[in-house]
Amino acid sequence: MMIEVRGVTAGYRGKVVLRDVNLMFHEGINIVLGPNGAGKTTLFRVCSGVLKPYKGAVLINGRDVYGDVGLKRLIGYLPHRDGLISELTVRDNLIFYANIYNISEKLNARILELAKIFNVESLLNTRVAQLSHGQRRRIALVRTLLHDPKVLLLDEPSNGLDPLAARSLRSFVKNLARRRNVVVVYSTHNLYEALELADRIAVISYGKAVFQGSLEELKHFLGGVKIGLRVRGNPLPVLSSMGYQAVRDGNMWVVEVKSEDEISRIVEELTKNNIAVIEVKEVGNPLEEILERVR
Amino acid sequence: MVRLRTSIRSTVVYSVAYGVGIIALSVIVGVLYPGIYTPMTRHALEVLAVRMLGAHEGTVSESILGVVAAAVYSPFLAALIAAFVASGAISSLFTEDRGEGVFEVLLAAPVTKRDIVLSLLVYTLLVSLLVEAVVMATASGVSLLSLYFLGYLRSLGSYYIKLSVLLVPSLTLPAALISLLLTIVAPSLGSVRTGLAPGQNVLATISLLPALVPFLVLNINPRIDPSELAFYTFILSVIITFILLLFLPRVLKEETLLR
Repeated sequence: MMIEVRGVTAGYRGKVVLRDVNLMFHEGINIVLGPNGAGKTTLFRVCSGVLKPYKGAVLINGRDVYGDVGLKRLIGYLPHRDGLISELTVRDNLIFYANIYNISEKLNARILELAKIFNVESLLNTRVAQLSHGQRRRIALVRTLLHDPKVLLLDEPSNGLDPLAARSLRSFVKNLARRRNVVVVYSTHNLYEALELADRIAVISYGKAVFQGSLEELKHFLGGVKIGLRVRGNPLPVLSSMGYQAVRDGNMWVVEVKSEDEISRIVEELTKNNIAVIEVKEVGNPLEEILERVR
Repeated sequence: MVRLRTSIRSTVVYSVAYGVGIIALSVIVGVLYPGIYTPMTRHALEVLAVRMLGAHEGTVSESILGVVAAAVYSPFLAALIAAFVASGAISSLFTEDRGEGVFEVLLAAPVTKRDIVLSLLVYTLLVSLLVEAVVMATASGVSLLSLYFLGYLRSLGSYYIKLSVLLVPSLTLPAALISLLLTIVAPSLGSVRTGLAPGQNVLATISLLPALVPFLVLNINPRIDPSELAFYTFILSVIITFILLLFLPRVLKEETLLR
């Protein structure tokens, strides 16, 4: 299963939001990162077949998703807004959407199974209008997963969830992606969430896809990662001779490197020069810097 | 159907309230200000009372003009009120569903734009018929009973029956359908308030026109057969339905359904 975003230009009422975006989403967890207004929601709408692009297409296993009703059965889409009908109860909402996907077999069992995972069993007979934002979000997740989709498009799913619920969601998504060969496309502002989940990352900025690859590749794409070295002695002369500029930060010396090989060479060189390396670790939050740099 | 089930109680309550309001208003106006009726209106009321209610010519006195007006005009007023209420309900439903992201989820589901328009259409038809039936039953029922006990009602003429059964629903339907069409094509119209009544908007006002025109025609020439008028308004409903089902899904852009 694979989603190919091919040369997509899309927007609303003639205003272009996404420009010539080319991306591939494979099985596993694909994180979409980008600042507010970058075009992530528009990307999700195009990938789910909700919005027709001005140019280009989104292909799922080679088939254009827009207008393909059959293909949409494979997609589970959680938009930014919940998509729940306020006057109905939770159960009525789930049954309503289940009927659209023609789920009749063991529907109640499926609803209960998912309701237990997201801890919403006690809310099944409650009107949606009476629920909090976090509860609605969890119900919306249950609805999205009801028909066992092979492509999951989750637009900021943890938005409004408390930490326990968010953790439960991440755990579920990880298990789902790994066990069932599902393509998960997941957008988030939570950088630690991205770090925890990502198999691959795509970065969108000002309507363009500026990067897609692994987290490591992303760090290198942006020119480097800061590492902190805790050493016995003065590493400055050795580091300078290797062409690095080191800055003191508390009991650490901070150096910017582009690869793990460089880290190994630095440690080797320091050790050769009788400077004991006690600790090496990544410092700063690379993803925050990522978002700042692509803004 | 599920949405209608949940809103049925409030819809019926509003409709009954409006029905009672019609009677109260026309009776109060008729009794307190009988001079409000112009000679043309008075003549029309007398003719309609004879044709619709089987009253004897010359028996419609000043004192019961208000009640007669309620009985005679209630079908039209029921259609106007039903059109107003149905338009408001459709506009609210569309705005709410769009705001909550319901259309967005539906567009991602194995559902076509035609399916979405069809579901809105069915809701529109059911709400308008329900409202019209309740308002009509309340307003006409009470006013006719009043006339009966006052001894002015001999029998319901076929004219009244044709009016209530044929013309009134056929006035409400095009109004509701026009409202749906405008709501989908120009949803921003729903947020423009006319101030004519609480919660009413430009969409509701425009969609009243099909209900208003036959009302004026029958007032000017009460001898027109209402089934003839009903036929023309029925044709209008069919045309609008065709537009909704055949053309609108093709030209409807998804961004209209998205927030």
